Amino acid sequence: MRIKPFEYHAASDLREAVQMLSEEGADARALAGGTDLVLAMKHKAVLPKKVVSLHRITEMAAINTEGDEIKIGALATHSELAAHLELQKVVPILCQAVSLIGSWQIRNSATIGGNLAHASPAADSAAPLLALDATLVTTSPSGDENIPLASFFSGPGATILHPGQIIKEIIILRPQGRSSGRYLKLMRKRAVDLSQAGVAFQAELDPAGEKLAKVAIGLGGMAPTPIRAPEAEGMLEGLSCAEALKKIPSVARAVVAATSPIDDIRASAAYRKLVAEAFFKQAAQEVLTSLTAG
Amino acid sequence: MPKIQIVGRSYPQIDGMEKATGRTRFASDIKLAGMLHARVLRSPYPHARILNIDTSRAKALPGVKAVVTYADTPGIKFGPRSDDWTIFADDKVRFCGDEVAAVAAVDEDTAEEALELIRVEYEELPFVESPLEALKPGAPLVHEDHPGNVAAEFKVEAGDVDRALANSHVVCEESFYTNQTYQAYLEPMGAVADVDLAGRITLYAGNQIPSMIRVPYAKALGLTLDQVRVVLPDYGGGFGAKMETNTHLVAMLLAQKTGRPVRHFNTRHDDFIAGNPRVPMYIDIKLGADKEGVITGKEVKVIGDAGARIVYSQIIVATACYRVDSLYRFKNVRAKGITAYTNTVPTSCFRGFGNTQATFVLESAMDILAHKLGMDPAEMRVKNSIGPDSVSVHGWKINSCGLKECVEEATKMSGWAEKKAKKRPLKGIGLSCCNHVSGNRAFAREFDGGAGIVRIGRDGRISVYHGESDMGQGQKTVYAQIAAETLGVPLDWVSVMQVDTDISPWGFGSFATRGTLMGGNGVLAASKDAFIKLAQVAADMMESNVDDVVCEGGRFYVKGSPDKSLDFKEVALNATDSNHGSPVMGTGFYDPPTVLPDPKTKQGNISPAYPFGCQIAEVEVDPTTGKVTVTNFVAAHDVGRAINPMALEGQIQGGVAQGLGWTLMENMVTNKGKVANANFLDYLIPTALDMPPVEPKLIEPYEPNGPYGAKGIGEPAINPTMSAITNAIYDATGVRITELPVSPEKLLAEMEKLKGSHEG
Ligand SMILES: Cc1cc2nc3c(=O)[nH]c(=O)nc-3n(C[C@H](O)[C@H](O)[C@H](O)COP(=O)(O)OP(=O)(O)OC[C@H]3O[C@@H](n4cnc5c(N)ncnc54)[C@H](O)[C@@H]3O)c2cc1C
Repeated sequence: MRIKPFEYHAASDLREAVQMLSEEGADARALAGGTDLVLAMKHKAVLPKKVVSLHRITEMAAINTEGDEIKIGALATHSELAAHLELQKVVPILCQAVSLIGSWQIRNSATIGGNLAHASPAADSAAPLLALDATLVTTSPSGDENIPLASFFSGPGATILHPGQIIKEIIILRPQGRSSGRYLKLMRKRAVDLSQAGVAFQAELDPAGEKLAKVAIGLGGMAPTPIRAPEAEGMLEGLSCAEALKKIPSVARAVVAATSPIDDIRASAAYRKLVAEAFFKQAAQEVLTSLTAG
Repeated sequence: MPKIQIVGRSYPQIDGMEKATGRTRFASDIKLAGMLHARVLRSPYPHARILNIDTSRAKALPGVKAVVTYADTPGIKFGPRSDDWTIFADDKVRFCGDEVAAVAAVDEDTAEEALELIRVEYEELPFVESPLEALKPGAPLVHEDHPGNVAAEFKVEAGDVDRALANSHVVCEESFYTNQTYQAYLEPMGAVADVDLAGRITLYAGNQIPSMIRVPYAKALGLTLDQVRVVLPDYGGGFGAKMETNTHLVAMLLAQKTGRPVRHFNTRHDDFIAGNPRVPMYIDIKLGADKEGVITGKEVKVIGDAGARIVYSQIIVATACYRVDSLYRFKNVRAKGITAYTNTVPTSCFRGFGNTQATFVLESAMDILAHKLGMDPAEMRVKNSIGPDSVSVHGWKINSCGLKECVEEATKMSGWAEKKAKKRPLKGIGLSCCNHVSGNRAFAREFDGGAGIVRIGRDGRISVYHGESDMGQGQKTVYAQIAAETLGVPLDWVSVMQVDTDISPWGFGSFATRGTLMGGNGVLAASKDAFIKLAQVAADMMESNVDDVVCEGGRFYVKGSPDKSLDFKEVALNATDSNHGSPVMGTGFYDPPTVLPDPKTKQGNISPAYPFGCQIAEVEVDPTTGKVTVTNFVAAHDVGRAINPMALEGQIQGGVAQGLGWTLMENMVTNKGKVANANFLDYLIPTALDMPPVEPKLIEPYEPNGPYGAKGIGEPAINPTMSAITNAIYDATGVRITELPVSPEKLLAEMEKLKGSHEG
């Protein structure tokens, strides 16, 4: 499979990048790690006239964990994120999830911005970032705009980004109380497989360390876009871990009720639901137990 | 005689460093001056009449040098073992991926662009996807001249099966299905073809049968055999698939049309949809045993899916019918095989050649019987095991046979007895045996030996010529070891030459686990011939008798006085000089004690030697997802005397990996006549992380017909893997797997059913 000829630019800064992208409108594409885009071009699924590489904009790859706002540059690779010591401490759920993406080679070039912008319903970074209430900082010629990740995806492979608008960074608020998270991914083999179901469970205790101040459940591959399960979350918020542990089976059913997976060659909808339920139970069990032990 | 020094020792592949450092030029790296690039337009429909093909716009595209369709071919029907091939689809396309037209252009981009400009009008026809459907009355016909879509039938019978089964203490009656899998070699199929002014074609193609492939190709192009020369570059794997393919013929035809070299390689997608995947089979078995666990009789019915044309599927189905009958002391067997055409990708050889499918079935049935009898499955295998110096039910002469030793070693290594005794929930252990051939006379019909040429130059360099095919399995190294051992020189004095059909002996090639035995015996015979010739010169120089001369470590000496020796290279120089430049040339061949089986009774020894094996798998099943993890694996194989233990262990580990992939994930899915997963995203093959430790064990009885006592390993390495794993799954869950692959979803559902039936 060959790639159709296209015009290529390596933008030297963010402004130039968005300028070039907006000039060409829908016919232009930003290039990060290329692990989705190049494949799509080979399959003629997208035929951009112009490709603007972001790789020279090095500040877009920065990871800043100093303040209360953890800032992750859109160009940070999955390898960098998975190995980041501070992220492992504060938001281990994200490190777990991205360390399961593809293979070493893929993780070394694929970026988190690309993972979100490609908007696969099964994108592995999406479920944990949704559970972490991430916000995207986007840039376009008309300026910066903050978009909550929860309102970013508009369908399989679709986002609300308009031509010329790119993700600059991802902001996660540092958890205030003690927190813990777990991401479980259903794969058909141990590496190099897309998620058939991804379950992210993130919980945070109140300052007193007694009650669950925040519970977030992110789901990948279970609906046309990555989703949260707000009703299920509500069943656990305000409870103590001991109380929450007892409610896991009924919450698990509410989690499944929030989903609408598809039947395809990778898995049937019924199987996805079955496993999502089991994964939720396992993740919740582990997280709540670790918060109890704390 | 000096003692054996080079044979039996582990050497890294002699071309391993070149490959590991990226220096090897593989088939797809070949670039010839003026070379054009070809692309094929393939059918988007499983079955359709071609009403019209308009290539005018493609021809007009700048950079396009030729566009060809069926109308540009000689229109001769041909095929490796049939006459159902044409180079391009004639009046209709018969599967999604069937060749319709091809373009040669200055580069691949232009060729691909030109494909989009070819207009084909089709009239879609009803199609058949499954061989069971294809055999039903009224099914659409894939080939009008094959009523009922029957491509071939095979029958074999010995003893009195009905009586044997009627008098059995236990009978297992079960239906199995083995699915379609893809060989997943690193380098897709392809070739570069070059034509000289006389019209003689040189084909540079990575393929397993460089000599044989010329026969149907010459026929297809209306040429004589001498007008097709094949040169065999290094290439990236084959596992059975790389035999005849229209992919090569497209390059040859376009080279003829343009007078320029033409390169044509499948894209990975094309290789999936129009390669030579494994023959799917429906196999029904009845297997009986007496109270003591001695097998009484066996009946099988096989329905195999040829796809839209025959490559070798009918011989593969025949193999599934009866090869496995030489694993145990069968007396009463009957089999019927039907090979059916369908509108799907033509299927063919894949490591195991039907015996993998049959072994999965027989060894599952053996496990079922052992459980019915309350007998240790290992003990039941040993009890029925065929022995050395015996003749099987089909007249196969087994010389060496280490099957019992394989079972004993494998059970010891895996801690079989303890693990069987201590049942742990969701953990299981399973065992399976296998047999195979080292060459298959029923396949290579004219003769089935091997030949070699050994040239010793004035500089003492030794060049070995053979006609087989090293696709990465290590054949070159084995041949170099045999030649070095026989000549008494260090291994690195020997070069194993590229197969070039203008120079090399006619070899049948690499299939049927025949390379080491057949080709190795050919190289051995040629090495002996070269040795005698050179030893004669050494004897003259040392004023001794040729029978008393030996060579060791590159020095000739007279037996008994190793301190007075002559340099091999000095002797080679002397030999060439006294012959005015003519090198020492040794030639030789091996004539195996095999016969073509009787067409009616199928009696007759088809191979000079038979390898055996026993594999044991341990699994763990995840009760929430149904996922199976193979946690440990041992594989004991009777390989005859090992020539290169390291290479054998690699073959065993590779075979197990391929078998594990097949059992747990590999599956070509056809949906509405189209391969739905023609890519490595959804055609899953195991990664290193999916592999358990695989502990190989070599059992080495001396095989009198093998070079230095050796037999083959290629195919036996995978034959027992599937049933070893599925028998372990049974041990872990109580679920009997009768269909491959074992998807977690399916296993989970079966486990639920069992639970329900226990509770209910
Ligand atoms: C073998 C293989 C295995 C894979 N396995 C997984 C897996 O397990 N899990 C998983 O989730 N994914 C997987 N993927 C998909 C892919 O690797 C990831 O989605 C990856 O994160 C994409 O990032 P990238 O930098 O390569 O994006 P690119 O391919 O460069 O871009 C992807 C899309 O996003 C756009 N884009 C890129 N950066 C930005 C930005 N900053 N702002 C706006 N738009 C942008 C591009 O224009 C393009 O449309 C796999 C891919 C392959 C080839």
